[in-house]
Parts: sequence; C-alpha cells; structure tokens
Amino acid sequence: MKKLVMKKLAIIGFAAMLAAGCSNGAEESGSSASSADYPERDIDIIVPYAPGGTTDTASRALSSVISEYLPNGYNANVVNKEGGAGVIGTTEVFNAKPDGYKIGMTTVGPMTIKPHTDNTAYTPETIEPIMQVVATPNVLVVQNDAPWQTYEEWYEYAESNPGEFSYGTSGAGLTQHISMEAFSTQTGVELKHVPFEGGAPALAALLGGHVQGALVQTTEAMPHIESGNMRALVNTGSFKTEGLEDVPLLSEKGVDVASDVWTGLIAPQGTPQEIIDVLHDSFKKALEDPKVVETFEKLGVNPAYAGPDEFAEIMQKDYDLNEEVLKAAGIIQ
Amino acid sequence: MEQVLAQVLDLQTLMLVFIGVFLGVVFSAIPGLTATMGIALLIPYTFTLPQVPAISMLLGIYIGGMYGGAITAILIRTPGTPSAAATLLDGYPMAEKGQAGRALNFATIGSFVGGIISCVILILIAPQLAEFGLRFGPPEYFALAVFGLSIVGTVSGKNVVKGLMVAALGLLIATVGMDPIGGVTRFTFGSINLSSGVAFIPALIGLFAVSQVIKEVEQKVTKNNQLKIKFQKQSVSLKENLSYWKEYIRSALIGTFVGIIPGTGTSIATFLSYNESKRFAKPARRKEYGTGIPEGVISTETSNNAVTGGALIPLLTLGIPGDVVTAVILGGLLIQGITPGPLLFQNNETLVYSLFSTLIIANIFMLLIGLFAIRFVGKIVDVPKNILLPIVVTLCFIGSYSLSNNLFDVWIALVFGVIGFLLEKFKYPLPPLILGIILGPIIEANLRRSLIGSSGDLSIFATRPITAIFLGIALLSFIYPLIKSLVGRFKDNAKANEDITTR
Repeated sequence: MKKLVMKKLAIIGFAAMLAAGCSNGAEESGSSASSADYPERDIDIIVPYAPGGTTDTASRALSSVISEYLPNGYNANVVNKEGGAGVIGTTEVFNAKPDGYKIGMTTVGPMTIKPHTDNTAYTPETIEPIMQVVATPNVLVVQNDAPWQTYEEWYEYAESNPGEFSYGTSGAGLTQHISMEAFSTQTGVELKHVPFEGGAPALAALLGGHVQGALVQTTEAMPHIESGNMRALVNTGSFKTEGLEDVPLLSEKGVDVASDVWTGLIAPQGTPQEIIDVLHDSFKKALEDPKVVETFEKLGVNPAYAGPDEFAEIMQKDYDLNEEVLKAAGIIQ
Repeated sequence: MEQVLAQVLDLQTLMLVFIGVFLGVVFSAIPGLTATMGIALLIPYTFTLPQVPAISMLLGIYIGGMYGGAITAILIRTPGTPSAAATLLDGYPMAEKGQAGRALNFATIGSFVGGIISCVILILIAPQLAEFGLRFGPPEYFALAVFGLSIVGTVSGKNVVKGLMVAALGLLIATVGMDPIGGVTRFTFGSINLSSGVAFIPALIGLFAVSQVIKEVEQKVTKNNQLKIKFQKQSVSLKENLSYWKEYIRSALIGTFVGIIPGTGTSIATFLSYNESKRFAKPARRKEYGTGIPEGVISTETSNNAVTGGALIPLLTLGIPGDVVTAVILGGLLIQGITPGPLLFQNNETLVYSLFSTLIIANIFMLLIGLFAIRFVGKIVDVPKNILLPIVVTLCFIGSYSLSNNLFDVWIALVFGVIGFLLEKFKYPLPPLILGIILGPIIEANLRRSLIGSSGDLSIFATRPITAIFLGIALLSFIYPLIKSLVGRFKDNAKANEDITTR
C-alpha cells in the first residue's frame, strides 16, 4: 500500500513537472497527414489562464478522460498560457496551424469583449468554434441585513437614489460590468461600479460593507448565500442554476439583459471540418462522462453544451451586445 | 479528539503531508515553478483521495512553498517566489560572507516558528480575527500600501534620494498594462504581452539573479573577482536562536496580521517585517541591515511563513481566499465537498481540527526537511563560478518562460537583468524598485476605489480609524528623519542623521 502510493506520487510529481516545464515538447512533427487518420499524436489545449481557475480545472477534468473518446486513444494536454486577461492564449490558438493539434479553451472575455477594447488579432468570425462547455450566470448579491428583500424593492431604491448604489465586480470591462452597464442604459438607473481583482475580493468588500452589492458568478456567490451571509436579488444570465431557482432573471423583469460567463473550445480558422467533427464528438462525450459530471458538480460548474453553430451564434450575439454597451458606457468609441 | 488523531496520524495522511511539503519546497526553490502551480497540478490527483489526506497534501505544499524560495534566494540570489524577494536583502550578503549555512539555518528556524505561531493563532481565535480582516476596505488597503511605501527609506541603504528615485521608477513600471478601474490599457505600445502589466516574477528573477550574473561576468573580465566562498557546515545553537526571540515573535505576528487581510500578499508581509525589525533595532545595529545579518533573514522568513496561518483564517471562516495560492486551495476544498465558511466550524469540527493538526505536522516536516537539506544544498556555493553561472542563467530563463509558457517573459527577465545591473553599478538600491512594483497597483486601484465610494470626498482618509493610523505612521516615517536632522543641526551642526547623509 505504502509503496504503491509512493510510486503513484512519484509518477504524479514527475508528470506535474513535465506538464509545467516542457509541455510544448512535441510539436511540429508530421504535418501534411490526411485528416482521416486524425489524431496521430497528442493534442494541446491552450488554457489562457493560470492553473487553478475554473476554466483550467474544467479543462483538466475533460483532459483526464478524453483519451477514452478520441480516436486512436490519444490524449489532450492542458497548456496554460496566461496573461492579457486571456488574450495571449487565445491569440496563440488563432495563430496555430489549423491541423487540430493545438486547440484552445476560451471564455466570453477574451472572445467577445477584448476584441473591442484591445485590438486583438482575432474576432469571433475568424476562429472555428467547436463547442460551448460551461456557462455560468451572474447574480446580484447584497448583505443579508440589507433593506431590500426583492428585486423590486432594490430597483425602487436604485431608481430614486441615482448613483448611490455601489456594486463590486471582478474587474473593469468584464461581463458583470457590461451586464450592469446594459441594465443602466436600458432602464436609466444610475449605479456606482467598483471593480476589484476577481470575484473573491469583491465578495470580501461586500461582506465588510465597503460596497452595497456585488455582481458575481453564481458559483462564487453560492457558498455565501448558503451560509446566510448574502441574499441574491436578481440573475443577469440566461438561465437559473440549482439552488437559485427563486431568484428572477433580469429578462423576466422586462430588462433585455441575459449574458452568461461561458467557456468553450475553439480551433484556428481553416481547420478541416472532419477534424472539427472529431474534436466535437469526442469532447461532447467527455463532457457527458460521469467522472467529469461529478467533478463539475463538486466545483459548482454548470456543463452547458452547445454545438458549433449554436456556439457561434452565442459568441456573435455577445460580441455585438458588448460593442453596443461599451460604446454607450464610453469605454470605446 | 480521538477521531481527529486517527485521521491525522494515519500513515497515508502523514506520507502525503510529507510529500506535499517536499514538493512545495522543491517547487518554490526552483525559479519558474511555484507552489500555486504545484497545488493546481496536484488537485486532479486528489479527486480520488479521502478528504483529510487530500487537503493535507495541498496544505503541505502551501507550507513548504513558503519556505523553499529562501534557499535559492540566499545561495544564488534567485528568489524563486515573490515572498523570498526580501530574504535576499540580508540572506545573500550572509552567503557572500561565507555564512550561507547560518543564513539557511535562521531561515529554516524562522519559517518553522512563523508557521507554528500563526497556526496557533488560527486555531485559537480564527473567527474573531476574520471579522477584523473584513474591516479592510479600499481606503484601508490604500493606507496600508502607502505605509508600505514608507519602507523605501529602510531598504535604500545609504542614499535615500536614490532610493526614492528607484521607487518612483517602480511605481511607473507598475502603471504598465490594464488600468485597474477603467479597463483601458496603458504604456503597452500595442503589445498584448504587456496588457496585464510587466510579469512580476520574471522581472524579479531578472533584477536580482540575471543582474548578479552580469556583475560576476564583469568582475571576471576586470579580474576583480577575488572573493572565494567556502561553504561550512554551521549550525546555530539554540542559545543563539533564543537570543533573537523578539525578532521571531514580532515577525510572526506581522506575518499573521498581513495574512488575515485578504489580497495583501506575502511580499508585503516580508518587507513590513524587515522594516519593523530595523526600526526596533539599536541605532548602531540599524546600519548593518543589508550587509548580511541574521535579523534580516529571520524577520523576512519568519513573516512569510506566518502568512500561511493568517491567510487560512479568511479562507476557512469566510470562504474568502486572500491570494492566488489560497484561491487554488479553495478549489481543492470545494472538490472534496468542503465549503469553507462559518458553517464549516459548526458542522464539521472534526475536519477543521484535523486540518489544524496537519498544519502543525506540515510545519514540523518542513523544519526536518529544511535542516536536512541545508547540509547538501549549501554546497552550491562551492561550485566554481564558471560552472554555476551558466546554470543559474539557464534556470532563470527556463523559469521565466515556464511560468506562463511565454517567450516574452524571458525578454522581461533579460531586460530587467540589464536594468538591475546598471542600477547596482551606479549604486542605486534595487529593493525600492520591487516595493514600487508591488505596491503601485494596490495604491492606485484602492485610491480610485475609495474615491468612487466617497464620490470624490478625500476626508475618508482621515475619518476612518485604521486608515488614519496607517497614513499617520507613514507620514511620520517620511518626515521624522527630516525633523531629526533639523533638530540635530540646530543642536550640533556637525552631527547629521545617518539615514540622510549622502555618501
């Protein structure tokens, strides 16, 4: 028993170091093979964030079972390429050879917001969507002893006290910020935005009473709602999550805002359709694998499958909406 | 209690803690691998383990990871982690004096003492302290960071003016990248690689390690390299350690305190602790800081490990991770079906106390691994420079690259290597640059957040008690030397303040 654990750990340790140090080892071999035999070696999944976040953990969960579903039993390795709020890694996928050996996980930020603000090399139209993997709505939470019990009470307060209600988000120009800007544009209700470096600091500021509310992902808010420290008033996403069925959607309240924080697989433009199909079918099965389902459940992540066409539509819709809101908010011209 | 002991003293758990600590030390000692990375990569393998062993291993890496950076910082002036940046202020000079063994000993003991004291605080009064951490809003963070900036005087060496210039350069470098409030990029020259700012660890590696290599090469060329270090096994007696008891306790308390405030980070703890150590020292001793004295190593290494217990307080009691490492640990906890928060202490006492016990065990393992490793790793200083330096350069560049698999970061290390070399050559101190880079974003973002909150009213910086105290101390630290020298000049024209005199 002891030996076995040791051995296992030695392998794990070695594998971890390999993964960290030389994950770009096997590249640029065998180029013009026909897509019929695809894949002939392991695939790299570029994750544009540091290890440990939701996108990374979800990718690793998928990659842990993917060899069972990819033809020829090959594996998909997660390569973290963080920086530029996800743009650096996503650009790398955009620039990769369209042979299906380097694909990427990307999210709503680098895909539909950054192209407007950062002059990225790519747009949703110049990459190949494979599938949407995860989607998480955002909820507006307030402290439990806040005077507003419902969305209506809060709305009334915010409307009659323009620029008074302060809310924290995980950062400037991200989905949460844009959702609230869209809300303000449509309703004319002025709010005070206080961006933090991530959802956790925003929630800490709310717990300490330094902001009056916070718009964060449901997964981040859930533990605080369950413990009774916070109350969710409204959901700014497109669907309701487990445990928050009673929280109304903004779209149910007559405001046309429904943006989720999504994560999905993309490939470089020009990847042959057959390869996209192989990748799509394999990863779809992996997403349905009981082990992956269980891991996602424990993380509180919602698997949200959408095929290539539907995923392309979601991307385009968010891309257009964000442009509109960013302009209205004066962030871009 | 029996249940707790049964869970913790299980052979598998003990093994996993040991392996975790070991990996943590190795990961943080090698530039380019971090404890965060180690934890993130091991989380998938903890899926199948039971709760206590799984979390114990992650906590082991965390504890080990705070200590390992000291080894390379002291021996080859390469801080593997940001938390070791302050360690080399006195650690490397000690090694240059041939006291590498002593420096490592103090670092190890300090890490152990810091870890244990913070752990005890965590066990005894976690929930009460968590509330205190929450009182830190944007104005408080701003004040704390400004207070941190007042340390420039302490870490500038002989010439404070040069220190201030370098600190300003650091603040300027910190403005590169995305504006924290508006979300607009600044000074990136259109490069996506700079849009999240200058990568900190590559810059750190460049400033200290690469610059040192350039310096050694220069000395070799100009035949100035007469320095010969020989590593000796030097043990530090218990009596000598006890004589520094004040350093240990003060640094442990500072580390724990900084750890409790989410989002401040270990590098701030180490610099604050170093500063306070110097402030409390006797005037004669104060001049020796930076030349390689035990107090410098003890204050920094004790405080960074003390951050561990502190940072676990908001994590376990409120579910708020204070930094990247604890955020990743939070992910690991959630996967094991543990939701941190007030309910954890009520519903799952056995688990909480099992985790506390493993923390103590992890610290003991760290002490043993550290004391054992010192006997061997210290020999690095005996390696001839013509063999060691190429290895250090290789490590620096691989390390910079592998952090985010980005070649651009290697260029950052190289450019900062040249900057560091030039600054030191013309006697500009490096630590203020680091302080500027670390504190700049905190100061800017929180100043602007505070003013958004108060709708532009500056009086919040005077009316909030914690803010006012920190800003008051900072102001005093800035003007005290001036007053002192004025008074000095008034009384005795010949006598000027030692901190102000230009060489």
